[in-house]
Amino acid sequence: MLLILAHRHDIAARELAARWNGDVILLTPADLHTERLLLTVSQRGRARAELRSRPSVTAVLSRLGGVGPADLDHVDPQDLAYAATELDAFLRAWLLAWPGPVVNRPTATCLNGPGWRPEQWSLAAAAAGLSVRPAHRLVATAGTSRSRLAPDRAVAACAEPNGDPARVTVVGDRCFGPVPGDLGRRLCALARMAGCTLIEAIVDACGTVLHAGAWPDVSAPDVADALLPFLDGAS
Amino acid sequence: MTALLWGLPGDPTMTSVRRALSRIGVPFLFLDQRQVLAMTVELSIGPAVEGLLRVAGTALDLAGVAAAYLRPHDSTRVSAVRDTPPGSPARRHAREVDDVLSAWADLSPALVISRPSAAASNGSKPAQLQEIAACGFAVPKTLVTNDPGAVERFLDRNGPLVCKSASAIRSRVRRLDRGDDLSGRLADVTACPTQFQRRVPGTDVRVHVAGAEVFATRITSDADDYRYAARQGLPRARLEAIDLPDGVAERCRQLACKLGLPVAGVDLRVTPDGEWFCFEVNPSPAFSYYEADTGQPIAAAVAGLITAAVTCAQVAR
Repeated sequence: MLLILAHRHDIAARELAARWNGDVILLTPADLHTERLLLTVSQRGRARAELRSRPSVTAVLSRLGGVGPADLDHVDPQDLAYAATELDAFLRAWLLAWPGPVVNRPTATCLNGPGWRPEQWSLAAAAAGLSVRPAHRLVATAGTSRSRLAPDRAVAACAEPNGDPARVTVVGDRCFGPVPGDLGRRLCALARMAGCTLIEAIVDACGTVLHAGAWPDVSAPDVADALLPFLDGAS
Repeated sequence: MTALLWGLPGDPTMTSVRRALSRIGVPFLFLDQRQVLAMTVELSIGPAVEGLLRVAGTALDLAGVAAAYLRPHDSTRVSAVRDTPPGSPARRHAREVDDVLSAWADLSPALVISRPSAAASNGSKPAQLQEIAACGFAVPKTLVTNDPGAVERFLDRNGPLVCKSASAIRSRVRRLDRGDDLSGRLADVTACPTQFQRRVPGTDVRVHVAGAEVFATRITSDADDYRYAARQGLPRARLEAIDLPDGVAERCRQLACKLGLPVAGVDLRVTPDGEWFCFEVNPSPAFSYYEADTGQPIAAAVAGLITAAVTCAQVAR
C-alpha cells in the first residue's frame, strides 16, 4: 500500500489517490493523530520508522512542505504552534528513516525536497545549463520602492509566436510536457541537483525556465503512471 | 570588503562578537533588527549574487560582504511590529525582510555564520541524531511516538527516561521513572508524537567549535536540565574549562563541518565509564553564558574567523 501525505486542500493529491484507488491511503497532518506512528533511534544512530496502524504501507509520496498550525484542528489552540512544529520535526526524521521509497525525500528545510526559494531554483537551473531569467526581489519601505539593481537588467519577454508557457513535470529521468529532448534532459538534471524524483517547471516558448518547484500536478494520468514504479521500488 | 552582523543589540553573544571585532578593527555593519521597518533589501540572482541593503541612511552593497554573523530572532516579534494586527503591512514587511536576508545568506559566497539552511538541521533533533552518530558519537536511545503503549514499553526496557522537544523549540527536560503514575502524563502523547530518550548518566560538557578551535566546558549540576537548575530549587550550575581527549575534539570539528556550521555548540555527556554521548548540535550557540564563567575566548575565535574572511577578500581584490 502507498501512503500520500498531503495538506487537506491538495486537490491533485486527492485526485491521485482516487486514480490509484484501493492500494493507497491519503493522510493529512490532522489525520495522523489517529494513526500509530513510531520512530526509534538506537545508540549507534540506526533509525527505524514505522506506521504501526498501517503495516502494509511500503512507500510514501510527500506533498507536505511543512506542518503549520492551520494543518491541525484537534489540538488546543494555545498548543497549536508547538504541536505543529513538533509534528513537523517528527515527520522530517520519520520520512528520512522510512525503510521504503519516499518521493521526494525530505531535507532539513522541507518535507518534500530541498525547500528552495525561487532564487535557489533559478541558480540551480542555470547550473544545469538551462536558460533562466535573473531572479529579483525588492522588499521596500514606503517611499523607496524603486529598484536600484533591476532596471538595466530587465530581460525581454519571449517574442516567439504561439508562445504560451509550457508546464513540464519530471519524474525520475522522464519528462512530461511539450519541450524538446535536450531541454527535457536538462530539466531531469535539475531534478537530480535538487535531490528530487519529482519536480515541475514552467518553460516559455524560448526555452527559458520561468518557475521550478517540487509540487507538480500529480493527478495527470501519465505522471501518475510514471510515479508508480518509483513508489514500488522498481526504479 | 566588510562584515555584516544581524541580530538584536541586547543579545550578549552578539555584543561580545561586536566588541571583539571592534578591538581588531575589522569593518562591519551591525544590522539592528529593531529597525526592520526602516530596512529596504534588494536581492538579484543572475550570473552573480547581488544585493543592496538600506537602513537609516546607510547603504550596503551585499556583494561587498565577505563575512556575516547571524543571530536573528523573528522580526515580527520586535517591539515596532509585535503589537500590529495579523496581516498588517508592518508584519508582512518584517517577514519579507527576514526571508530575503535569509535567501541572501543561503546563496552568498561570503563566509556565513551560519547559513539558514545549515542551521535548520537542529529543527528536527531525531533527524540530527542520525548525523551525529555518523561522526562516531553515541546518541541516547530515542523513541518518538504518539502511542502511549509504546512509551510504557520503552520506559520498562530503558527507563529512566527524559522527555524533551523534538524540534528546535526550547523545552524544559522532564524525567520519567519506572513506577511513575503515567496515566495523566501520557495523555498529550496521542495528540502529537513526543520524544523520549533513555537518560544517560554522567557529566555534561558543552563544546563550542569555531572553525578549527574547540572550547570545552564541564558543567556540574544536579538538575535534570542545568539551564533551569533554579526552577528545581538547585544552585546555579558550575562551569569549568576543560581539555577534551583529542579524538573527541576532532569528532566535534567533523560534526560541525558535516552540518555546514562554521560555529556550533555541541552538547556532550561523558558517562562514568568514559563513553561520550552527543545529544544535539546548536547552530547558533549563546556562548557568552559559558565565556563569562570560564574566560574562554570564544567570541575572539568567532571574530577571528570573520576577520580572516574579510582580510582574504580584501587581498583577493
